[in-house]
Amino acid sequence: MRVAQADINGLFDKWQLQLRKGVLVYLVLTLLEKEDMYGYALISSLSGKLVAPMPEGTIYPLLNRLVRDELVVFEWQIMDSGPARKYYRITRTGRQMLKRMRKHWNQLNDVFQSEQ
Amino acid sequence: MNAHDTQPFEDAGARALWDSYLRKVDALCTVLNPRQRADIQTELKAHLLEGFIQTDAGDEATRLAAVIERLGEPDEFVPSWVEERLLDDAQPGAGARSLLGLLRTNLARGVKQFPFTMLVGLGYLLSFYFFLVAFMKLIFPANVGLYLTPAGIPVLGYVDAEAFREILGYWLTPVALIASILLQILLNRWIRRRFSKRA
Repeated sequence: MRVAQADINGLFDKWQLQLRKGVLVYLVLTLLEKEDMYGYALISSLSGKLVAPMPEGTIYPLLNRLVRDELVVFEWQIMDSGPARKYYRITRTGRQMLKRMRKHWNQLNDVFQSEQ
Repeated sequence: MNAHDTQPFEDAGARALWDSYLRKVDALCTVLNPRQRADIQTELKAHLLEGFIQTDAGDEATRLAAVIERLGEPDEFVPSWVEERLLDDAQPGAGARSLLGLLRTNLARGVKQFPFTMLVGLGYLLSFYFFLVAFMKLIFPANVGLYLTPAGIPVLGYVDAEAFREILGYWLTPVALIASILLQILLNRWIRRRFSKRA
């Protein structure tokens, strides 16, 4: 049975979306490991790191989930000029999670390298 | 400038864009409580203002439009955010409002989710029926119960037939209450698991 090109595109989009969700968590935690960041700055740092462009707003549900899972915490800070900023900070649990993710990522990377 | 402030634009086009965008966001947040709605609005306002300040090409409306384009249309990300906020409250012991809100947003996602929503809805109805029967047994002890018809088919509810044989008797009240609670717990877990997976 021949699979139509439209089906392949649909399947690829689905796979790419799932992959991006997983990678995004890893990238966000990696950025927050370096410094506390607010939403807009986090998104600006992420832009260019993802091959496929995505609406910037999609980061907010993800941040909400990371807060609920206690991987990050947040704090609103009033600025002297400009809008108030909601700063996100990685927690100890978040760092432990990132360590495990990094290890797993490296293992996957080794598999990919050996397959090429 | 503060994200809690009203919009700071002088240009009428920019003001219209700002109001229209936030109105669309708010329309997608109706299942949330006022505090949760305000949280989302505040964070988005902060994002829009930050982006606006850091975008320096063009007039106010052009700059704001550019920020909005990058941020995405509300229906591209706000429904997921709303689900996340509902899940925040849908932890063990969650209120019915949060869980029903989750179902409502789920139903809005389309007919693909219809069987799940129907099953959960029926489950809640059944749970309520068990609860009702448990108390009705105390008020109408002679007619409410779990009966067997002459053909051996079990019937739960109000029965006015001598030929039916009652089983359980007054034990029906604790059994029905436990069944109602267990069903609630199972349904709540099912909803949480389903939404956690998707998130």
